[in-house]
Amino acid sequence: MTDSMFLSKPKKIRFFIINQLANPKNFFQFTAKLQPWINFFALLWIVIGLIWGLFISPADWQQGDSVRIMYIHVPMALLASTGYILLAFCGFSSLIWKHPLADLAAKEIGPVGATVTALCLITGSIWGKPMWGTWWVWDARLTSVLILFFLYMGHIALCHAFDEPQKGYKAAAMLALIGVFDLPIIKFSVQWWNTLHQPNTFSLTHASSITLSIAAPLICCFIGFSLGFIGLICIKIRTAILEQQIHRFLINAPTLSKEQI
Amino acid sequence: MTHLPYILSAYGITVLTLSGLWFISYKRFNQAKKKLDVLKKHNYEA
Repeated sequence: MTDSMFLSKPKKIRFFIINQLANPKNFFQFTAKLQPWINFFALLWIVIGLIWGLFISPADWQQGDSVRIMYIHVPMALLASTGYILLAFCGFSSLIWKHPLADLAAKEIGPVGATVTALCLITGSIWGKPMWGTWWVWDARLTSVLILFFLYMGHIALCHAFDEPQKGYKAAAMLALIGVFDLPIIKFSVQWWNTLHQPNTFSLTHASSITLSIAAPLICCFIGFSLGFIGLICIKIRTAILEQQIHRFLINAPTLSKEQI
Repeated sequence: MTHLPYILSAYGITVLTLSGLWFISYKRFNQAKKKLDVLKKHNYEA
């Protein structure tokens, strides 16, 4: 009998995630089944959200039609921070538990997180031009998100900086953990400093400041982009697992030429 | 002042970048899968 048979349901789920999915083979098989569903629902929610946001939702009384940029800017901003939390969690798992998938996952999350953060900055800049009259200001929120982008870039650079990958992964994991300090700064920058950036739209403690007709497509877009983000990370981790297997095969069968592959 | 160019450029950049990332990721996955199949076949024959 296995240990999992004696565990309560929430503990069983935790046991499954930490122990069963830690095995790359199990992770590969589990995500292979989920991948088409994640892709399908991501595309569905994104299409619904973007069509709703572009053509059906009303224009803002103050910002006019440019408020529609929010439907992509806000999900990108939330995913940029969430991605970094994932990166830090992978770093923690790698340093403390030596989780076999943590380094691979962190290596693959980095570029996706950097892309999402870059999109957040670019779409924010495009939104800022008609609203603020400038593409960029050294505002606390914008600067802290720019630092987040540099943290992602640093993580990617460290992963590839050493001849021995494990050294790079360890350094990158430490950077990911140190960089977590930037997340509360991003979150509270609009409260701590007088910024040009508007205050948080959504809050756990206060009622939302936006109407349902604008919030609904935003939530649709957020669900869609989040599923897309998960799907993208899954396919990248699955690829990394395959590449690891290829590397092992090549060590065992070095006679095989590149042309044969 | 029309905001259409700003809206279209923001949506265009996001959709193109994310689609590109998806395409590259799936291409890399398929290439890795093919390589592994060749290696497995070679290993089996050996």
